[in-house]
Amino acid sequence: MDFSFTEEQTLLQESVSRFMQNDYGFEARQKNASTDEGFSTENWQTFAELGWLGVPFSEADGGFGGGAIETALMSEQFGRGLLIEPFLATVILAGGALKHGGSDAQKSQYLPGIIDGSTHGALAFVEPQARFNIADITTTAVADGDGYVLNGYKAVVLNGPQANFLVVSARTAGEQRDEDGVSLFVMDATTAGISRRDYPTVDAFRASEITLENVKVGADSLIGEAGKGLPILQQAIDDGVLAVGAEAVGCMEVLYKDTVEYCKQREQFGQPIGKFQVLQHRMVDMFMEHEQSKSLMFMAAMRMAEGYDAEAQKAVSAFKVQVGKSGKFVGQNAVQLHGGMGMTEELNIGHYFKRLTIIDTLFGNVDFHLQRFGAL
Amino acid sequence: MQSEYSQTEQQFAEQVERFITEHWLNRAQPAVRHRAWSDDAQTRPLRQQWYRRVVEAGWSVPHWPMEFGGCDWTPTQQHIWFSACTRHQTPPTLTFATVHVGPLLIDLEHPQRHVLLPQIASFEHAWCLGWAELGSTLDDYALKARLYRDQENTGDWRLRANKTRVLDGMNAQWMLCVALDDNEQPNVVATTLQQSGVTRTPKSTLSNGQPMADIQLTDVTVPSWGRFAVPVAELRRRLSSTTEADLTALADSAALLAQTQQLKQQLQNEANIEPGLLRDCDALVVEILGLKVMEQRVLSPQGKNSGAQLPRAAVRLRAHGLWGKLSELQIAAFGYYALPFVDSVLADNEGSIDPRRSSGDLNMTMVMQRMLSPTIATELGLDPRDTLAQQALGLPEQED
Repeated sequence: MDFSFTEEQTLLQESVSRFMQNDYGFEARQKNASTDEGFSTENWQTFAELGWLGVPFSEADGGFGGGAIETALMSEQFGRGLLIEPFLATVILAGGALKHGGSDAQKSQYLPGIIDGSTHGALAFVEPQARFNIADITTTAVADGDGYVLNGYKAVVLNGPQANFLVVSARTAGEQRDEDGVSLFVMDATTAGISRRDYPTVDAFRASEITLENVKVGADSLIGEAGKGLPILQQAIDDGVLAVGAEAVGCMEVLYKDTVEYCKQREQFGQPIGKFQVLQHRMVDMFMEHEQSKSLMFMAAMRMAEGYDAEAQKAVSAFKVQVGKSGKFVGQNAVQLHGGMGMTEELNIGHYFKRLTIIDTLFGNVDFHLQRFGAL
Repeated sequence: MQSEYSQTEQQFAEQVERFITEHWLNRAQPAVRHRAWSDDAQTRPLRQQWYRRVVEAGWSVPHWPMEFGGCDWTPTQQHIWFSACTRHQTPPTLTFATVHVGPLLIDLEHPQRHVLLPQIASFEHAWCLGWAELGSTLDDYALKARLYRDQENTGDWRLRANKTRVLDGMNAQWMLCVALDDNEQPNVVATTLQQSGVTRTPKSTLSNGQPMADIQLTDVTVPSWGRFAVPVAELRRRLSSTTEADLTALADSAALLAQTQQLKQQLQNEANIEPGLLRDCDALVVEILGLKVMEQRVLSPQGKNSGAQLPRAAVRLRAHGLWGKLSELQIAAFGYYALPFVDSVLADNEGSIDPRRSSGDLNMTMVMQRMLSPTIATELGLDPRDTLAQQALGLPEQED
């Protein structure tokens, strides 16, 4: 295995790391999370100017030409800063669906806006009954003249409140859980018949429940072929798994390092508690969970970069399993070792733990991905 | 970044596989090979034959410098060789002598290295470690072993000691021993066990895998060169297998992966299996894949522009934990057939007790033995977490 980064990858990593360290303080992050948008539009524009929003897109589409490794490196740094801006929802998920399956016209219409920071997107793929099965779809798209009419309900659409456009999964054929017959559509978020109910999530992001009632779209809104949308959706979701997994790796790094620093300072019985063997071993176990997750992050990123196939999917699921288990362990122990302080809103520890808890659920939890890993 | 071996490394891996197949796998049935792994006296010729072939190939100590018999291999090639040996359960080439004594002699530029190293590299002479004593365990200051000057002014030393739980002590020709001198300072000394005044008593262990011994040394001779210029603390550090030069503790993932996959395959054919076991197999495979990447990270250049940085003690700790998990799974998977004492069955050469399994299937008991056999690290109380707490996390020394 080769773990060396290219010069461009190193520069990108350093650039994000520097920003998160110097310009993305925890207090400012909390303040931004409580604004109407739920994040800093100023930061978002800075990301665009730094070229980060175009990293995963091809140079032909106006992007940086990066891939899975760049996504992982950036997301790890985002995790360290507990990023609240909707990079995942807009760039990785909605942008990813267009990148993997969109026509040239669709890419020309939406990707420049994502890359320059003027457009937000959201991927509406979850349904209340489906749990983590992305093929379990009751939303329908019925051919109507030159276009389609969509009816249905989409749950927990990340970045729904801010999205200018939506990518929606709907069934054009087949039974409720069939893998064939799933189609993806891209549409303006203000299209007639779309209504939203917005809310914050536990980890301070924003999401929406979206109802589609006789939403009429043209044939040009279909992404890829009719009925063949599931592989495109799956690839975008696996990009998302890699991104949130890498984010979790960054979160875990902060948690174990902050805990070590705290235990070096906090005194009991006249000496730092970090001198006690039982606590040292606990912190080493946290460090080990972080390193194990980071190792599987490298494997998943490398496999995804080498081509999206069953091996890549397996590596991504293995990574998600590890991140789910390790995140819980590291988060719980960070709170525990910080004592009562770890329970407070003012300290960052609990916020990282909340994000790690949500990441375990996003795109399928440990059990789901272990099952997928075993079946692949 | 890339996830696979280079073409050269792949070709080397195939060469190693061919070598092991020809000189080990094709030489005996699995059950016999298993007995050879566990050092059964009846299979000594088979083990010796393997060692001869390894020596002839020049692959006995690839991790040593070339002038002392090492190979011009990259760290990855060494990893391929050691991993394949572990996976195929060959008689171990990674012994106390090849892993610890040889490199110590080389690093110290010991005057006897040109005599002792060839004996180690050819597997002619085995070494053991004499550290623990009844009542002293690992406390250097509670040692009772005594090193003193020979009264006849020969320049040699004399050693009086009672060492216990000596791994491989029944077979070794040499002992590396820790003893106090007249100034009450701990010393590291080498002495041959093939002299008068040496009494060995076998000591039963939980597993028959690796014989231990109590060794009494009654005023035995330690040659003038036998007092090693190495602090005991340095020896302890080296024995923890966490030194940068030691690549030998990084060869577990391939064996773990093969055995877990084999276990899952067998479980899938069982009619009455708890579904949780298959899930646990998958969960273990995930963790082993992580270990595999960790091994590769340690082997890779530790440059700034790389994701490789990782202390090797982390790999050691992880591997140890995963062998334990595999052992637990295996015991659960065997059901009632976890009860028979497999070593005893093998010693009787009567094949498998479980009528559904061939004798070869029993080679998975290696795992159980591995967990039950005391290792040098646990014998010395060297928990890699203590190393990591200070090296990786910068935590202060522990409070006694």
